[in-house]
Amino acid sequence: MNAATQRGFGLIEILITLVVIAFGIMAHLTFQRVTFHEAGLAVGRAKAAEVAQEKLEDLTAFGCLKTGDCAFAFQDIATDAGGNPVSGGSQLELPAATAFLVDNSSYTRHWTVTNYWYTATNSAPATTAPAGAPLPSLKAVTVSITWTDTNGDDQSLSLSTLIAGADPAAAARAFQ
Amino acid sequence: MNRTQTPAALRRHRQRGAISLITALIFLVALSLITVAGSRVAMVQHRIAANNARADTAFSAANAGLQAAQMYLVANRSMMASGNTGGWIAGSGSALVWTHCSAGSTTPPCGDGSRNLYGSDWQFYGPVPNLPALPGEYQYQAWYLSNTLDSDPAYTPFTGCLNLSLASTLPVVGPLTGAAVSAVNGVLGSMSTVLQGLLGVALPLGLGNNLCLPVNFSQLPAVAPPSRINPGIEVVAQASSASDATGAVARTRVTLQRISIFNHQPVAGIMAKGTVDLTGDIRIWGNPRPPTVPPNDFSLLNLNDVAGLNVTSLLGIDLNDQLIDLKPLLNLTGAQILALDANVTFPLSIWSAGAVTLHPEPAQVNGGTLGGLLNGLGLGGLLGGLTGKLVPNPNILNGARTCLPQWAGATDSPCTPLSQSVQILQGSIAPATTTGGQCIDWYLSLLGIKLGCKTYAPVITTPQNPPSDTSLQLKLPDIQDPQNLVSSVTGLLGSGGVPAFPGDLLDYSFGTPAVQADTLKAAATVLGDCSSLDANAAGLYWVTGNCTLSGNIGTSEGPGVDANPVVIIAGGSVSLAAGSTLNGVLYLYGGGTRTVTGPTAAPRATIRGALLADGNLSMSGTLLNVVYDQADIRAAGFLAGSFAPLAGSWSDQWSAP
Repeated sequence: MNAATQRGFGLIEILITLVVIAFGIMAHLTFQRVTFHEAGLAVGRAKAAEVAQEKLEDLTAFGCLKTGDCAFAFQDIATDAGGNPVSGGSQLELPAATAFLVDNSSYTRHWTVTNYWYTATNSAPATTAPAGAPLPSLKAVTVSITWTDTNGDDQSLSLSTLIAGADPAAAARAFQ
Repeated sequence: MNRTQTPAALRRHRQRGAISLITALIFLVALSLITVAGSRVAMVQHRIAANNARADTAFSAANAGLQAAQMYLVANRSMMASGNTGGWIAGSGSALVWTHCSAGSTTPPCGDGSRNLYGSDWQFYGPVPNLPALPGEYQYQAWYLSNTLDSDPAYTPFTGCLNLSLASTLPVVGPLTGAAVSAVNGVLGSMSTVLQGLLGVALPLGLGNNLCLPVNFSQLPAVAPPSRINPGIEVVAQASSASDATGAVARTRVTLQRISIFNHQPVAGIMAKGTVDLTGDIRIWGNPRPPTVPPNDFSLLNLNDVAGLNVTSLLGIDLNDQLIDLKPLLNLTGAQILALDANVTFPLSIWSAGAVTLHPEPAQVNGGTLGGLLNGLGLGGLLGGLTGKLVPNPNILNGARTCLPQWAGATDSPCTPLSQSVQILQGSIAPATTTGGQCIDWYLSLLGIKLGCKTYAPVITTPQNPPSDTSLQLKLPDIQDPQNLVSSVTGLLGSGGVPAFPGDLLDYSFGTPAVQADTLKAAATVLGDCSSLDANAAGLYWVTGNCTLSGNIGTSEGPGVDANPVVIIAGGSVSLAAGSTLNGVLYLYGGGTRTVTGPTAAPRATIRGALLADGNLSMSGTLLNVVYDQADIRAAGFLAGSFAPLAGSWSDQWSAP
């Protein structure tokens, strides 16, 4: 082996190889970063869906129809209001607009409520209270969860359902 | 030294560099493979999370469908089984009606997309219209399913009584059709007036022409009475993305149970938490129908429960003889004919916490003892033709009673207070004998010729003075609750004795404590007065002011008639115009003395159902009927009630029923 050959191989080829590998690793890292970010986003979304579901279930679990008849009434459900209170207190168990941590991520929940009244047979529901202001037949609830992902971007997820204004006590009578 | 490289040396040099590059590339490819493999895991996770979120959204939407469908059903409870205008039964003329599932249909709602879940005996209504849309891309559809609806127009609903009307054609509706009806009409037309009276045909009492002949339908020929009040409705909902055809599809199902608004159905024609003061010609009628569904039957006694008891002897007329000509037409046996006339009930007339005072009727004194007594037996419909007039029957349960002045004397003189073991019926039962009793089964009965009696019935006599042998007295309780049903003549009073009047009548009746009355009000249609109420009224009304009723309010249940009796909770006083009929339950809310006024001129006004008062009840007017009608009370309860999911019936997997 002569010296000329050894010199050429040692510098140029290694440099070129390093450059090629560096580009490859850079691309790989970029890809990994995106993948991790997406995975984090997916986990965040799943958590948010869980949290939203939890609030929907909380709102569905009213004990009576009219405010004051029990700790949490159907009538209490309104935008950012309603839900079961903590035991022995008046504070909501799952309050609105208060940031809370789930697995080191900070989430905030809000909900909006639209009321529907069935006032006549075979008719679409009204969205304004009829005379006498009866309790709504249905409340459409959209729970929105907002959080900041690992990139510092704001994310949100919302879940909608309808809640029937049916007296839980009446349901219990079905078995009498 | 020649430093010039040969081409071969140069090639070799390039090749050596190429080897390191190729090695680097192989390394990079390996790295890429690891990356791709790792990212695949991340992608799957991502997909799972996204799918979960979509499924959550879809299920929220499908559940929204169930909730909306529940409340729409509550809003349309008077329409769901109605053939009237706007009704959902085929033949009502509505655009959307109950439709039978196609046999083997695999598409929702009768199938789940790949298999059939509801057969052709099921009917569906839907997609249910008028349900609010959800925000977001996921929308739902909902259907009602039932297999107990009667939607065949050719099938006449039979609600448990033969309906005999005043019309000259005397239509008999029920299990009879065509020629049989004509034949029965012919027979009825040629009957003696006495028998017509027995059947309520010539009833002159202003109750309308829709009285029922009590019939034990469990013993009628095999025509199953259809259920117009459905015990349960299946609701299926399906939610999917409006924009993404391949997105999540969620299906949910729940069974809604029909729930009466009544916590307890009223057990008497008049119930008052205070005193009851009746002035004028106020007639309180027993239940003119057979019991409906035990144990919801709050009647005091179903005579059919008492083996061998024969009411015909009580009447002193052999219905068995009179009706024998109807046997072939009605396809009934002698025993069933007996059941026909024995299936009567003993409802309470008045149940009050305070004293009941019956003032003398102005200008006329009427009411034979027999009429009063038998009306108390619930036989008013049967006896209508026999007595010119019936007066309030003596079934009054309260702490103290004032006797009927026209019976006891000229003035309102109090008589002996009833004891707790109220003896209502001043009758007695004699044991069956071979000679003295009514024959309930003949060896042969053909063309009126009877060859000996096989079985004799015990005899009920109706003495004006109770027999001295108390063991023979037929003692009836004033009130009987389902937990205390009686099945024999002895010990009818049961061990519980007479129950105390409910402390909170609103809670007793509707399951809503008086302090939470607003809850009941919120569920009701709130009216200032009763001027808007008419025959089409149905459901629960809360009237804040004074209420004047005229014409027909709601309709009474009857064969071929879709009943919509009402429940009215009145905060003010109530008056009924001449000829008006309130079908349903009138509840006078609030304490103090409440008044119900009837017309002073004919025709009579009628409250058909029950009248309840939170406080003292004062009724005046000369022409007022209160008819305790179980069927209407029950129907009113359901029409004013709601639907609620049956616990445990919710599922997100469709399965064959």
